[in-house]
Amino acid sequence: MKNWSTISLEEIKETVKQKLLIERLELEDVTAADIDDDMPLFGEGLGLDSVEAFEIMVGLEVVFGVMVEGIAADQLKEHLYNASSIAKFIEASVREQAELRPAAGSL
Amino acid sequence: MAAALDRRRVAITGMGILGALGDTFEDVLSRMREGETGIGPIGRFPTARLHSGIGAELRTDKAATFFTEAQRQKYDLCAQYAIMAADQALRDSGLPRGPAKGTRMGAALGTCNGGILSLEAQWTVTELDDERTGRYPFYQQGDDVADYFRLNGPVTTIHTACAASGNAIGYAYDMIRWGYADTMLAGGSDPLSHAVYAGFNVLRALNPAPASPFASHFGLSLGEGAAFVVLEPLERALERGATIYAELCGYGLSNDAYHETAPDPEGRGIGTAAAMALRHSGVSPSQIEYINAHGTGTQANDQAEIKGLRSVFGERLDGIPLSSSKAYFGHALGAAAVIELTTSLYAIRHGLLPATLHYDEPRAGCEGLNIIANDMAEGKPRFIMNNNSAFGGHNSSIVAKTSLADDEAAVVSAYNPKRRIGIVGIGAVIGSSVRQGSVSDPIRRADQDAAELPKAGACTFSLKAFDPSRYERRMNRLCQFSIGAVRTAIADAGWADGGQALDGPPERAIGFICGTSRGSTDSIGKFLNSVFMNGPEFASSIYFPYTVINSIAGKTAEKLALGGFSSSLSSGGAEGIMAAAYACGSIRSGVHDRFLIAAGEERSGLSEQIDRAKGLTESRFRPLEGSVCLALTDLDVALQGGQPVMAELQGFGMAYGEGALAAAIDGALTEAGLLPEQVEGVLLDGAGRPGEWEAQLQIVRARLAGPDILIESVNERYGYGESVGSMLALEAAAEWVKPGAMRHVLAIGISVNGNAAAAVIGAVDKQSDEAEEIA
Repeated sequence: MKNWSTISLEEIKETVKQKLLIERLELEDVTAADIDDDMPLFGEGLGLDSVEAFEIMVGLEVVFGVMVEGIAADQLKEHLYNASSIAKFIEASVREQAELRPAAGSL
Repeated sequence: MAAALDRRRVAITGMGILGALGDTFEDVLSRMREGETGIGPIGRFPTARLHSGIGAELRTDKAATFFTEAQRQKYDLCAQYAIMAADQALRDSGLPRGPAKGTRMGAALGTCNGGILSLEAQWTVTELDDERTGRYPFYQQGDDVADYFRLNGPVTTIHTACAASGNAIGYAYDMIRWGYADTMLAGGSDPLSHAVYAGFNVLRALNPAPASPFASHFGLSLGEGAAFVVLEPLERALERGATIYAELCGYGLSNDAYHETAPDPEGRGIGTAAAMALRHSGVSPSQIEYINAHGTGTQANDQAEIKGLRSVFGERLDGIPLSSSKAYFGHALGAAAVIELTTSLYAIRHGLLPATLHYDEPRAGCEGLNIIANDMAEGKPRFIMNNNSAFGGHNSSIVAKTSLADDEAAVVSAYNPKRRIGIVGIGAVIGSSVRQGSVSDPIRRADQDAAELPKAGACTFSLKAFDPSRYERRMNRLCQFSIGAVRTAIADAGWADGGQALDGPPERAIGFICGTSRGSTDSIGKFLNSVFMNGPEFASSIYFPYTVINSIAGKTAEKLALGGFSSSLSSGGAEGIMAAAYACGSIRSGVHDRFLIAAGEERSGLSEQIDRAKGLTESRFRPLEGSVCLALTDLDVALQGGQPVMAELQGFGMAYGEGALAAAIDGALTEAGLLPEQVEGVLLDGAGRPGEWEAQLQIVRARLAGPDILIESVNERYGYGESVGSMLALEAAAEWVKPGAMRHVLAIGISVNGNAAAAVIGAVDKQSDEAEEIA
């Protein structure tokens, strides 16, 4: 897995669109360019449903190593609102993990 | 003298159980009295990386002593559980173990996941072995029960997920009422599956603490097990002095037509089923004195279910003792309905009502109810209701009467065997084309030459191109075929209203019965692959809903707004004719005036391996996929309304085991009131493995013996695809009699395991016999 803590928010956002949404959810006829950063993902906008939300949650762990366990449902809902909020959530999570992890070589 | 068919009543005279609280009713009830739950730590597979580590597993491995080593090799655990529960039920009934001479005993098995453990044991979907893969298909579980007890009557596997055993009991009740069987074994079975557990886990549906339905904590606990009942005519049960646990008064089925996993938040589907059950039972809401609710404990279910029940019972609901047994047994999926019904009936015989364990305070939407909390209550309710709901939107509701004392004026639902049923619409998705009104004459696209039309085989249909408004992303091909075929049949029948008038009179709604042997094997393969290759904690949530094969019927119902009576079944090759028999009987019973019956299959990598396991790669016919749908209605109502009717469905026969084919033919002729020599043509659908076709042909010829009889194989022309072929046989028979040159044609479907169903299709007489008699 890539070290996401050193990668720009823009690149995380593009990966969210391509890997987490388009590929993981097998969205047909949708390209990354079709997904605006601020477009709502659920209900309106991209029109995803609850079953797809769980697929995104699995994808967060598989693609970015970000675990969502223990996060309250309403908070999680805010994180998963659009591509931009997901990317910010990933960025914050991987930074936090990187800080907790001892730096390579210091062991 | 047996009761006339139009007033035959049905009794439960034997019961068997295998669940987390024990494998005898005595043990189970003593634990229920103690307020014991069967839910505990899972020992069967690791759960450390999942959100929950608990479930309701069987405590003992009864199968180890019950079966021989060879039998354990032969049957999936689903079939083993079912056989053990059915054996107990038969012993309890005092009937011989198998059909008595001159009688017909059949079986209806409800299951959510069929033989999924036989694939799980291999932990691959690409390198499957034949032996274990052959135990997997859904129909195999019902057939194994039939083989074990050497049954000879109608045998079917009902796969409407968590409502399956409720539907199976209803189907079995109908088979007796309608005269197709003298005794039926009906029940459900589902062993705990690692992959299914992973699926519920990824949907965040599991509770880390034991489930507490209707109470403050959300989430379900999975369970496992089986239970069976023996059903027989009440009159015979009384004559032989059998123990009568209950009279089955009636049942209702429906589909939410809402979503593959989430219930309609308004509970309309369960409300429709409960109202239908009451209507057919002739029981008023005020007579129901106990409700065993589905009550899974999830946030979505409990609230929606109560809303649906309130729409039927109104404020009266608050006064009716109500409980969910899921906190005792876990959610045993396909076995849930029958486990909950049988344990309720047993408890009631002892003057007790099941409780809802782990109950603290009501959750939002479940306030004000008369919930039997934590301790069993005393009670002797005369009429009870048992409800279940499922993925795929299917619901079942059963009304039973626990005591025959004071049995005045029992209302028996109206079954009128004289009502004539006609085929008024045909829709098919076969090869590269959509066919309306006739399968043999496809609608050609403007850009397509006749020469380009493949006769059958692979289906290239795209719902996205045909009707984008009914398509949704990732929709599996079988769902697309099914929606395409059903939508076309509705159009052909001219049913522009779509039958959604559920608030209106029931005759305006449309019933829907779907047959598929395998469901979307492509989706099932993708889900299992995600579990096996990535790990159970990374199970695919988007494919999990399609591991239950009623998902095809459910998605079709959702996209075409079919909220009425709804069922889905497997037999391994006779589904079309079985669905037709079920629909005709239901129309004659006053369920709805109109029914759609559809059957379909889809080819995939997994289905090829199932073919190999079943010897179908040796078939003389090429593989066929697609879907065919027929629209059926009361023939006289149609004619009076000026609607053209293509053909009449005049009689059915369904039989299993040695001599099944001949017995099915005899049964269909008897019901149609025909002599063998009156049959002018036969359309045969069979697997076509070496020697099979010749042997079947010989039996058909010996039975009918007409010198000029025309016998044709639908598979020769279209190919072989388990369930779709038998619907093609019906459809082709309708085309044969439509011009009037032939009066009576027999359509026959024979499954991979020798389950047989036959139907007599007749040319349409403008007047019914009754009308002629009057004239």
